[in-house]
Amino acid sequence: MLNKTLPYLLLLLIVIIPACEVYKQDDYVEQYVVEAFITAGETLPEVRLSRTIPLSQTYVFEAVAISGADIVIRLTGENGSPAAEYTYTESSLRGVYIPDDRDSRILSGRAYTLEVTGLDRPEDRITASTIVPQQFEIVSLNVGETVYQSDIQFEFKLTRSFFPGRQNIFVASSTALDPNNFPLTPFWADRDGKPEEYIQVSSGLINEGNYTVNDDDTIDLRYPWIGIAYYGPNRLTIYAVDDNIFDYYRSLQTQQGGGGTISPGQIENVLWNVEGGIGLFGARAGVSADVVVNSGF
Amino acid sequence: MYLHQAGTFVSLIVLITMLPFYALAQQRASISGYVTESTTGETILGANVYLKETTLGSVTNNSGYYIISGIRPGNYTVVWSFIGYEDVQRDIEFEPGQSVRMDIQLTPGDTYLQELVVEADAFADERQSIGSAQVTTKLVKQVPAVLQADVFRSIQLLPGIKAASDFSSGLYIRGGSPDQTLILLDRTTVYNPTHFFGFFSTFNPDAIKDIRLYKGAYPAEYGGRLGSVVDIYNKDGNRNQMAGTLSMGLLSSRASIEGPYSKGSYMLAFRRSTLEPVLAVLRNQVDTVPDGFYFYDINGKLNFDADENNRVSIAFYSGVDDVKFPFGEDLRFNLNYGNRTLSSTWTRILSPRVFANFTVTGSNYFSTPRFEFGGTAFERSNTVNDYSIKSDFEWMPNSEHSVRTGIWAGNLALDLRDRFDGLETLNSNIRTSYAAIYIQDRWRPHTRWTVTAGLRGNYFTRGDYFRLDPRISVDYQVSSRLKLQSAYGRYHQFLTLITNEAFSGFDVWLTTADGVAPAWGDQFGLGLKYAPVRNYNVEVELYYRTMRGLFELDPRIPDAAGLDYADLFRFGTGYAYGLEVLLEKTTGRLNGFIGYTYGNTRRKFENYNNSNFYPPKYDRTHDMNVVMNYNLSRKWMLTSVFSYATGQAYTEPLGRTRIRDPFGTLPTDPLTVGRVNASRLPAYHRLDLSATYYSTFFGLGDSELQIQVINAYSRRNIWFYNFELDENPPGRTEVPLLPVIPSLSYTIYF
Repeated sequence: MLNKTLPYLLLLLIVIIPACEVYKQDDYVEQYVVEAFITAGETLPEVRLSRTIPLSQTYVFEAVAISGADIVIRLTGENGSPAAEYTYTESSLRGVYIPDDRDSRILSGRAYTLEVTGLDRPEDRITASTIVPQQFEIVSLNVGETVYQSDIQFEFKLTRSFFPGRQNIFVASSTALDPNNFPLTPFWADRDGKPEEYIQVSSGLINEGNYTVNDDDTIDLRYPWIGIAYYGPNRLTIYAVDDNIFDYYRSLQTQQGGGGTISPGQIENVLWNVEGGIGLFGARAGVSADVVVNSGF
Repeated sequence: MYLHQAGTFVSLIVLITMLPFYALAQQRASISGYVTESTTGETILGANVYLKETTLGSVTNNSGYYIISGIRPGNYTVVWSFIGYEDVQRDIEFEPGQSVRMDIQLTPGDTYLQELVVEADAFADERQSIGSAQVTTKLVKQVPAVLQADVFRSIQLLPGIKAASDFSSGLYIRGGSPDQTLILLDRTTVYNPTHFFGFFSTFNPDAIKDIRLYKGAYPAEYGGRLGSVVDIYNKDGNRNQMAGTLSMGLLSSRASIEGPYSKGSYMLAFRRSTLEPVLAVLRNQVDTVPDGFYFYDINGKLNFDADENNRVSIAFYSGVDDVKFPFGEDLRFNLNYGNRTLSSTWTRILSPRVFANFTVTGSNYFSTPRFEFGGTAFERSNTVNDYSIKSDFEWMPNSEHSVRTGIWAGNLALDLRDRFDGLETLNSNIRTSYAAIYIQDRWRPHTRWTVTAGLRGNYFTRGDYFRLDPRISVDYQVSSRLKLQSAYGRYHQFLTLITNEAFSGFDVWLTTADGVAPAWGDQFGLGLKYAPVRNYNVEVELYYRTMRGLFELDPRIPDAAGLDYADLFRFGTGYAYGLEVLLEKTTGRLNGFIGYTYGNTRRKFENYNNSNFYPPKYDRTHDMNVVMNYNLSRKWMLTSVFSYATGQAYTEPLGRTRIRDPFGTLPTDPLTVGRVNASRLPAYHRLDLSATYYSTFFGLGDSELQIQVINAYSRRNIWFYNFELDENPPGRTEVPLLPVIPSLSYTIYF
């Protein structure tokens, strides 16, 4: 009996089981995009406001820029209430907003919030908040000039920054100061892009745990050769970054750089830390030194 | 403390279980011995032994030894059988309390009609246990394979087992990732069983005698992995005469030799890639061809047959992959990785009813990648060293019970050191000990019923975790042609693997610790084995399994320096269920099997995919393999493999934006994505063909000429979509899997 009914039971199983699972692709949803980076000790930055586009469309900022929004950045006081409020006005460039206060400086170690209203619908509201890493200083730089890939690398001795709840995270960045008169270093010259695309390059995220903390609470940071794209005069900048930049960069690297445990073609989401939209409201504190990199030839 | 309690607990169970049988055992007779192959003297694992007039029977264990006890005094015909071999029958008169030692040699049958896949047929045995399968080296060598015959590629043809891609030999078994499968070679754990960065596995088919696979709900004698076990045994070596093989392929070649000596046998097998000429040609035509690449491996085994009750073997494996790769100006990559294993097993027959193994193992995995880009070097030294001792006992007090118990204990050292730009940035030295103890009773209360119940205790010192794993399976023999099966088991895993499906050369193992508890899961299985007519088998299995407390490296951690250990991981859960069907024709001119799987697997991690379940990339709803073998004549054999699978899951980018880079000249172009892995690539299908011509090599020995075509109709299966984000709008290109690939190999047996 069982032998006869067996094939039918199997067929039933094969038909029934696939009907149990539904997991379908969702559709594209347009989102607001906000973009602003505040830097300790510098004036308030411009804020850019736009929309996402479907993947198949050509991106032109002016075409997706949002005009007529109300933007305000607030400095949070010690008790959590706003200590200062900075309003914005749209510039002559559609979707680019500039602060009405052009003098106030960003305070290190303080919290700021961004709010955008006046969007498509009255209930639409974009908010984001951040904490500016504590400003730090260069105690010393071993040399101001050296030969590329020689034994002597640029080595900074830095005071320590501070960010609540975690170790400091750095980004090392170099900006070529005379790219028209000096060539690219070999690694960058071998890349596919145009030379002007590498005027400013950066290291990616570096944990403070990579460096030794000295007895005087300074750290020694060796600037890697890979982070220098041009020979000649360069500005080397070491930034300490907030959680928003940290999350954005690490998730963007995972989305577009792959590697690690990410399978080929696997596309991860970006961590935005923005409510009511996407984008980056980032904060950083940085120190810079101008150096000269010689080719050795 | 926990270990001591567990030991006492298990001892008590053993005592309670055994005592009632002791008196009875004195009245009954028993028979035991080794079953070997007549031509080589190799022990046969899984051979059937039974008394024709009764329902008594047994199967040879992992050492080729069998025990049947509880035999009432009298005359019986004892039969020894194994598919592909001629049966041996002996009439034996058993006296009360008599213990008969009977070592038997089985002679291979007509190779013209031999089976492709071996499954024990007549007797209820472990090899017919739910969730288990056995792959013969014959199958491994016959199915078409890129570069060379490969054990894992052959295993991937079985229902319930999926491959991540054409380029990966990783085993994704019943929804589990590769690290959820315990890989054992001669009882030794192998931590990176790959060559060519994952393209194929480390196991040389010339050296292998037996491949036993437990896809799920595996018995208590194994542990430490959530999902499954692949237990591989090297050949002992020919005990009768010296023999060898020499095989030359376009891209790799193999040689092996084996033979007897005065007190036993030996086996040595060597394999090396022969890619250098191909690379030399490519180097003149294509950029980014390695400056050098090779891999090799050596397997060896030495057996010392001290007397009829004592055997000692020493087995080793050593394999290396080495590549030097200039990606461009001022950008270089070197990698050297591989495994070494060494094990020694003392097999002792303590009494006619008690069989024991004592094994010492050592396993070493190493990986030393070095990148140098723009004068900045990244170097890594990554090693795993695992030294262990284990012992297993089998006792068959009567015809109803077969008891197994054993321990396994060892020390594990995982060292990971990174240097960036000349400075040490990571120095992790994990030291842990582990121990496991198990007991398992296979009980046949009735001729139709078999109950296998076991309990395994696992202790891991790092984090101080003790976990108990109960296992049980129940088989019901409805008729001589139909068997129903069910099983349940709990499993714990104390290790996790950092790997990439496309490249296994950087694999890093990590362990539990304080704040990182072991992953665990339950497995349930229902099975049916049906033989409608002779030489035809139908197997159907339903499985459901959970995965809880999964810990894996958080892919969004860009830099591990300065982080607490627990912060390296993301924690999640998962489940998988499915239906597997295997239709098999075991003998005849046309033989082979069709394997079909309907499967679903899901994972969930906090703050990922909105904390919802999603299918991992390797989830494939439908998966089918058709393996056919046709003996055209005694000289020619044709083999084909057709594979079909639902396209792999991927995450569809839905939208995009552009955000300035605060640290770079160029803006960034982040994508907005929808549900994780909610889209599917086109279906995968492929046909591989092989023709083998059997001949002799100038009268010196047999030879095989094998002509193969991989992907015969050149299906452009898609590996993944690549989005060109530097274009506006981004272009989408299809990155294909293997094109049509012909290959040729010639093997001489002497």
